[in-house]
Amino acid sequence: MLYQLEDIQFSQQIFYRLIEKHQIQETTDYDLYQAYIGNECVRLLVKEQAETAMCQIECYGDTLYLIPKEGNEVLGFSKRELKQKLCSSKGTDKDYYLSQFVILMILVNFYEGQGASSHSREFMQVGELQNLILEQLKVGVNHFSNQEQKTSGIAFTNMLEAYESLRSDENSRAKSTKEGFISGILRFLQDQGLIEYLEADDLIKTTDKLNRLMDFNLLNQNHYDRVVKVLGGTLDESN
Amino acid sequence: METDFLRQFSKRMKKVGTYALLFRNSIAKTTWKHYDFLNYDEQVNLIFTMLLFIMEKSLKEEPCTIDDIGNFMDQLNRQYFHKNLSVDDCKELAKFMVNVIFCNDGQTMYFNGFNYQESKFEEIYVSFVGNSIIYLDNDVKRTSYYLTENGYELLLSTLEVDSHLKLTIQELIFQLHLEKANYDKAVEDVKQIFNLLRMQIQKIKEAKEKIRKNVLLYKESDYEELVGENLDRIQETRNKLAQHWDYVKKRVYELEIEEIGIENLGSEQQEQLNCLKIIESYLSRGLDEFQQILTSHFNLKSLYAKELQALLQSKPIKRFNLRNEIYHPIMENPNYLENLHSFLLPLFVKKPDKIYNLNKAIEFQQPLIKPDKEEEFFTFDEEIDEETWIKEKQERLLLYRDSLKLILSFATQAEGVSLQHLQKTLSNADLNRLIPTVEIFKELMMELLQEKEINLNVWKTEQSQNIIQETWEFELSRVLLDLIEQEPQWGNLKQINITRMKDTSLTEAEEVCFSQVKNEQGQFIRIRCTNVLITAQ
Repeated sequence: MLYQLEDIQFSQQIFYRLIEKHQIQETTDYDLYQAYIGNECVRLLVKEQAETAMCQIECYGDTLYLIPKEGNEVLGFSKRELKQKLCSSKGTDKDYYLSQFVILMILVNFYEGQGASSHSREFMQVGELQNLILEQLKVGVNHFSNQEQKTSGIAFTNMLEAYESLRSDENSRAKSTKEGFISGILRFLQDQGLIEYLEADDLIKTTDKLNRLMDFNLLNQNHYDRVVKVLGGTLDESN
Repeated sequence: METDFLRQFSKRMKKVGTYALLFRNSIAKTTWKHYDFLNYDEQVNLIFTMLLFIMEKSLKEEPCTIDDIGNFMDQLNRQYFHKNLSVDDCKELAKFMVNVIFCNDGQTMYFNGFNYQESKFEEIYVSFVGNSIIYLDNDVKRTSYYLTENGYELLLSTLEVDSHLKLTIQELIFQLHLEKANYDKAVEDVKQIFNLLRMQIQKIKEAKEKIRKNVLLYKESDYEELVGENLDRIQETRNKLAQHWDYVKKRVYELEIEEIGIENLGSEQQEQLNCLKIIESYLSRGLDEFQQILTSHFNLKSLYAKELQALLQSKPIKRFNLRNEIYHPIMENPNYLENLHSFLLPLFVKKPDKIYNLNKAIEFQQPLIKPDKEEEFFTFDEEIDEETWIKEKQERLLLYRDSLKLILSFATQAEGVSLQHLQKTLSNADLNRLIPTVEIFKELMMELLQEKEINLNVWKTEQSQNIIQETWEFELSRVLLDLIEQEPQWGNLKQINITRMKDTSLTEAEEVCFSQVKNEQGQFIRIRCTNVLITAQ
């Protein structure tokens, strides 16, 4: 198939902008967005490039998103890198699991809707999040007997200990305090364009990006295989 | 059974639901007790006052942060409620009201209204106050609250008129007022019309946002209703407003002509003229708003069509429940956290590593020291009006002087005076004299603190030996000496000492807070400064 030079240029611009900004919005990048939506050649070329770079490009609402595929170590985060970003330099595995638990806690509380969208909450106070984490960790701890926790690899007791051993200091942003640990995670999510973290008001809000990714991608039944993977089973068993 | 009379029931429930949820969110909350609002009536009055404050801000399109609401609460309390609440308490109370009562802690609010046609309960979505992110002058990211369509409806529905008729009735009343030449009433009415227009714009804006976020969330019936309303408003009211505008302009012109004819205009007529001018400005703004409704109306139409089309192309998405499918299993077995990152992976994108450019190492170094600024030239588009400029400067200088005078009048007492004492004892009017603007107060205090000890005799000698150039900028020595010269009771003063509180043996606080002080941009802010002791002997 023959391609016009102009189409190739457009596709390259689009892909480069996606690497740079991770998204292309109709309102801010009208030309690029239109080229992708309206021109099939351009779209094919961009998809091809994405395939090479182990990414997916999805159009949700009025925005194109770059989504790294699993195993993509250039544009996606490996577990080790995530740990570096989320925990302090001295952070242990316990801290890392705790940070995953915190992110899950945020998602579960914001995306419970069963209607047309799963987004079910406008904002959340950081204080409430802190209390929820503590409360749910305690629920987890009480759920298991000491014996059971000793035999299992990751235990809520460990995470609770890790959480409680963080100092509490409202004014500190060091990752060795509860506030600092959580605000570190929140700031990472904010840098990723997923939430708005209003430190002055002690509030978090989710962005359109996160809302759409949750609705169309993460919670999409078609991607249920990821859940199966997390739960360590095979698709047949869980369906 | 005859149920015709229940046909509109779900519509009624929509209205009732807003009240019901507002009161459900506020009633029996223990937080009220902390702030001494025990009486239910008091609470309801306060809730509506706060909503009206947010509406006022929304109408003016001004930012409305928790601080603004808290400050308003503080003023309100001081002037009317007289509860024993500090500024911080007021802010906390405002937070409680906005977050818990108006926003339900961020959880979406639904009221279940029964639909007798369908014989089932239907969820009615309710929201009073929305929030958006704004950046204030100093680049601080804040949440600003605004009234949503429900909120507007709730507040404006006190008229008990169907929303469809509201505008026409308002117009009728307005016309009557104009004809009877009751102008200040007419001003109120025209404001009301303007509010309704703003509400319509807000309604379209929200609909657009909703459609953009998820077209499925937007009901077809809502669209139909909105488009119908838009068209009605555009058709009916535009002409009428234009007529009013002509009429008002004519009246203003007539009054102005009269003014020229009869040298002295009666104060009553003067007032009428002012009212008419206000009406005129509102009407012309109203016409602009109409233009906006018109354009947003067409934008809305094309947006909805586009989104629906896109929806047709994509298959419906089935979703699983995060809590059931992932969260609960993890609570049962935390080992699953091990692989959770693979589920979250699509959310995160890494910035590629940067590449070091070796050429940077052998580049010529740029000197770090910048050359002195070249002399700045000011050019004025208009001719410099020196007189006005000098007058402004003189007025400003008087503010410094007045503030200093106030401080001195207390400092000459035996014990001297501390800032904290001033803050506690001064009346509001005197506080305004002390801090006319934050900038002036800051400069004055900085100068004083720098001097620490002022020996007035030395200063007087210095002044007499120097040739004084006329200047309109603030200089502590000159203002101070002028002041002492003109106030005979201070003629014998020899020394003024300014000490930071922490350096004294006194046990007063090290810092003082002044709330509700004006800065030069006209905003009311809160400042914190070092507590100092000033003595004059």
